[in-house]
Amino acid sequence: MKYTPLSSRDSMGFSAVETIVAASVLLIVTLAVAGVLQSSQWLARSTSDQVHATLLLDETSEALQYLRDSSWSTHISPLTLNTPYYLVREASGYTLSSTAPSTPYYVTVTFESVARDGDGILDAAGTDDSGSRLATVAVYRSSDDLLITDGHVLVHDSHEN
Amino acid sequence: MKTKTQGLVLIEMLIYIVISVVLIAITTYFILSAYHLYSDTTVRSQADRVGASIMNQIVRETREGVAIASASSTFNTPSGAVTITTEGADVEFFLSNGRLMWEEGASSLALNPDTHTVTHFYLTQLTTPVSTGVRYEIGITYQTRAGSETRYYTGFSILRQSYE
Repeated sequence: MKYTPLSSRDSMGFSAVETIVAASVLLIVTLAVAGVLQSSQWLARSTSDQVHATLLLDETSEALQYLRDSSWSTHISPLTLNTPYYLVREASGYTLSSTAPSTPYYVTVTFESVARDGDGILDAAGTDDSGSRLATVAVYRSSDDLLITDGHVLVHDSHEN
Repeated sequence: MKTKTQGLVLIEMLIYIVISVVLIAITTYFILSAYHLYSDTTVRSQADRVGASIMNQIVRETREGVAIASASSTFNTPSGAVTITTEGADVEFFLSNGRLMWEEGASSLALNPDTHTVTHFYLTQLTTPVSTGVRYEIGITYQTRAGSETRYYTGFSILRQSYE
């Protein structure tokens, strides 16, 4: 019997089922690629937030020392404990305000009391040290109030001013 | 038995070509969009790396400084400059044609690449009764598909040796 090549047979083209399957495969691949792109965009934004937050944490730590150096009795001591204040940059320096600034990121500073034992070592069961404050610094993204990172700074009334 | 041979007629060929061109155009559009998105993401990430690197170096050098040389420093302008007196050679930071320059003695180095120009270098000297510090604002401008963008980075450092 003579062999008949497939290309010469009567059946030609794609059936409807084959077309639907091919389109579905193409759609799945496209969605997968789109998902990867979206994830990379999210990762890039998250990394950028971390960079800015780290710089802001460092700046806030220095700013707290600046406020301490300026006057403990004016800038630190009167602030209410366990209440978040916003770090605000001004032309003349820094302040801690109850109003959030209009910036892409904002920083909150919350002071807690510090207790020490008779030897001056930090001890939660010790006596309250009015010349020290434990500041919790938190950096948020303003668009959605997302907490990016936080840290702690121990501030002392070193200059007794 | 004679088998029936068939091929493509002209109409079918033209339809196949049109469909193929449309599919290739759509695919090319998505590929180019993905490439541009990747390119923009990369240049923005590099801006963050450059900004953080510059700020970390400036803050560190300032923290180790003894005093600010006011005569050769420029504050409160977008094209600022600062000379930090140290125990060794003085350290200078200043703008030169979009490059933020670091100089210490005879050594000189640009802290940012050509692709990311520093267009804003705003310095504020902050003085307290017991210390001196400098606040830095750096603006880095780069090109994306949509045009130029600028990102700002801030830092503040107290000269540890300025304490009396």
